[in-house]
Amino acid sequence: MTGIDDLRATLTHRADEVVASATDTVTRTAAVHDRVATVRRRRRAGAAAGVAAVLAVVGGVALLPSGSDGPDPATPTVAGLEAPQTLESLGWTYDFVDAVEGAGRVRLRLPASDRPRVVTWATAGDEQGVRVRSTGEDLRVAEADFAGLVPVAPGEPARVVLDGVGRLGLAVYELGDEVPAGVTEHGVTFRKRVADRTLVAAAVGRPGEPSVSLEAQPPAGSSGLAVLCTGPAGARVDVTFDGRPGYGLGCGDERSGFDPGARLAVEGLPRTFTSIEVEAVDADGRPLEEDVQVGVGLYSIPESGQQLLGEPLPQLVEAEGRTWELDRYTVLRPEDRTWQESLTGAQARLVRVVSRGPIELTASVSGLSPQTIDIGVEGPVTSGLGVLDSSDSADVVWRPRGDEDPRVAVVLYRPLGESDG
Amino acid sequence: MTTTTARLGAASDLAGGDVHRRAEFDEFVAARSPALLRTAYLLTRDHALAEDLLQTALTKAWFAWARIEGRPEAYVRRILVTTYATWWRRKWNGEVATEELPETSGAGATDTVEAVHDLWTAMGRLPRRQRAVVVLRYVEDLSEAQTAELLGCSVGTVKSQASRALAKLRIDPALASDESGDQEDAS
Repeated sequence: MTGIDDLRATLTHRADEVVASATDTVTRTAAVHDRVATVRRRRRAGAAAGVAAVLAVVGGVALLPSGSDGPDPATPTVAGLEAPQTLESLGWTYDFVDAVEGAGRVRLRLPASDRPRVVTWATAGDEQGVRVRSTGEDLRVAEADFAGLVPVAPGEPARVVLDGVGRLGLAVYELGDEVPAGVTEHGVTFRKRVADRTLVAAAVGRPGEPSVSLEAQPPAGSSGLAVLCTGPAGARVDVTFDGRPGYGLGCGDERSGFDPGARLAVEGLPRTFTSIEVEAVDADGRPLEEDVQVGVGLYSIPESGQQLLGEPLPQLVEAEGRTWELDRYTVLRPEDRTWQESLTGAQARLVRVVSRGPIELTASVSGLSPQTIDIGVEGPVTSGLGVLDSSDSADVVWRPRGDEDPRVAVVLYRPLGESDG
Repeated sequence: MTTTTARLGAASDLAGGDVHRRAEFDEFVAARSPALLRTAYLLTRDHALAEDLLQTALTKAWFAWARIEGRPEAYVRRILVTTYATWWRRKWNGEVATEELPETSGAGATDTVEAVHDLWTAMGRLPRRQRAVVVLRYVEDLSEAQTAELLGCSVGTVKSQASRALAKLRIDPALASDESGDQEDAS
């Protein structure tokens, strides 16, 4: 058995050797400043390089943003309109990065990035009949300038195509440094408000620590947990209440660390507890030692007051980068196998279907290619069908998958805080 | 005072207060980078990687230089260790830590060179966080609290990581208990 002195002597000896043969400090200083210059150049070019925009023109001439180096972030313009410096989406603030413009069609290809982004659009004229295809399949009528958002999650590439008449453009925004109200620890924020849920308490562990405890009691009424766990493949996080086993959940990679409060992992908590502990373990159940971060947020869920097919109907939901409030819903009679809605002058609507019983659902919203959803469980199941934009229509057709008599309802949500106009 | 004659390849980037800031920074690099290189080398165990890690940390430090208060060396060392801890796997993925160490040559192996080699080899097999704890605690002589602060973890984690590391290095943890002894992280 060797001792600490042997260890210290060994390491010191090794370190002395490398210092003796190291690069001289003059060369090192110069190398560092070369790196500094490289970083500066990269930052200056970062917007354009990060966007990697591809312009395509249909029936017109491509229009580059003013200036040969792209738009000036201090006064960004898109399609001749002044673009906002920042956009807010679900409490997060996004800073303008870059824009591409064109006539007739603009295509934008975004390589994957570690930072969340949103893409919005604008047109030079009053004509709002542009269409945005954000995932290759989705096609929808655009909303007012800079009103619609295409969220691009961390680690995900995106292709956005904007079709219209005349001069139009796409603007890219990247997550800024401001964080929403809530609990922020070690670079992770649990938002205070997520749709109609309110944060009661949250705790986030330091990177590298596999467990964290949250001293909290369940709020009156319903509550749920949002859990953060980033770790290697196969890792899971165990949730215990006062030491009693609760739930086991899978961990995600680093990209899943953004906005953990947005997803409730567990609803229906024990009625009493004073502490919640989450611990990340590997596939063999051993606590992780490396590349892990965990956290937990306790949210209260208000009583809806409205029931739909036997389940609470949320008054507020988050989707497509914004919050929506309940507008209206329709419970279809068993013999009503179709549902159709056309918006005339109204603003966008989020369309969801709630079903109880196995059904096959085919829906087309705002010109989307019809999508078929096979719902084989008893439910109730909520299926998001997309956004129905102004002056467009949605068609829903369903049929039972067995001998039972399923129940189907269509729910519409409108943008929070916006009137019907 | 140490001065340098580093070439000003990026001089066109400098303006106003940057000139003074650069002089301070260059002086710091000349004076303290050898010590920082020692730490980088003990963490990476590779001369080229150590130089890369050091220059990466110094580059990051340059952009924060105007905001650094107090001892810049501690600040840069923190950047260096943090960069090692977080970027190591992505950038320098040729090194693989293993849990199990090869058998030593037994109690009869008294050859100093061999013992030194064994310890150095064993260090290379430690997970990087444990290796960082060993370097900071037993070479840099940082306290458990200072090590915890620098690594961004609790004192309990430093204790447990040190204990595990010493066990893998086949060093009796009791020999290293110069503070409050080993105990698992209670946080």
